[in-house]
Amino acid sequence: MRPGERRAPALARGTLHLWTVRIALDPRAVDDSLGRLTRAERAWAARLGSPGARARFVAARRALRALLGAYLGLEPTRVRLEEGPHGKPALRARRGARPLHFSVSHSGGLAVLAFSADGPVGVDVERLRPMPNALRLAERYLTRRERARVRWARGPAARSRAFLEAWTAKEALLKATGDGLAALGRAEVVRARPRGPLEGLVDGESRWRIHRIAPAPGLVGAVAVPRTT
Amino acid sequence: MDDVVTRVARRVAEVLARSPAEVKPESRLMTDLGAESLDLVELMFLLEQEFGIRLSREDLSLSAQLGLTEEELRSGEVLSPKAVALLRERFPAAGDVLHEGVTRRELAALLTVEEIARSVRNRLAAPGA
Repeated sequence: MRPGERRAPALARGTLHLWTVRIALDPRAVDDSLGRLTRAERAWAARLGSPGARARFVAARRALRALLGAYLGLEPTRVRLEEGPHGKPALRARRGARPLHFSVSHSGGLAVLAFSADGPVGVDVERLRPMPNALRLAERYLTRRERARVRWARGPAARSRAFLEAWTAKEALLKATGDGLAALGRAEVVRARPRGPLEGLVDGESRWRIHRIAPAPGLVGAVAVPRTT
Repeated sequence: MDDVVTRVARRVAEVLARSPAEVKPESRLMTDLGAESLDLVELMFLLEQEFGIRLSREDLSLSAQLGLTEEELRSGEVLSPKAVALLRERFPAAGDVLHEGVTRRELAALLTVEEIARSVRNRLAAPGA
């Protein structure tokens, strides 16, 4: 189903909805999407000199509005969005309405949108690609525990994949907390016990659950939600 | 182009798989060249190697460099007039970005190759770089 085609299913507590949307690069599709955004969003799109960045923004924002509108029973352009302290978009609080949390990521021609009624959510996806510096990037930006799998991976392809998996887990966590990359050094994604679930720690405290996702062939990613147990 | 700008531009081209001719000093990384967060992280890493320095996220985060607290930086959803005034002083050529009511996300447009080169130069000049 395409976002906006019909009403999205109700978002029950304890569930997480993930949507994938293909990002159309041809100018006609971009123009069509532009017509479904707000004036401020169109102005921002006009500032995006990179055709790829513009296509990603308009496709993801159009889908976000369509889906939020469907969940809330509103016209997509009437959905009121605002920016959090570090630029993370959020739904403007509405009196009496239950909160709806979301996060958006895109890579490799696909946007992924995550929705939850339980609490903040963060999603991140990356296209699987050769990362010649995977090991050194892991040493610089991941913790010792996070980079163990990168270090032990055999061969460049496995190493690149292990790095992108670890990186998307960490970025999903930072997007859920709303702190963004500024908090890179305070966040860690680990398994509390072997084969146990992935947990997201901020300043050493475990408050988040991380799930790996594979929304399409050639993409790796993760989504972070508040821990319930 | 001076040497630091040239070297930064070369690394930007490498990370974003662009031809060097596409990357100019005034190129805006996120809005003109389509860089995403992992691209910036890779770039920071490559620049650290290239110049033998240590960069922090703050080096690339323009808001952090204004020396304003989170409260001073924002006024509701948009940047505070004080923050906009400071940014205009710092970026006299970026009047198109720094309009009244500019949001935090829109500041991404300020990140140019030249601006990164400036951070690198600051690091090179700092003691213990």
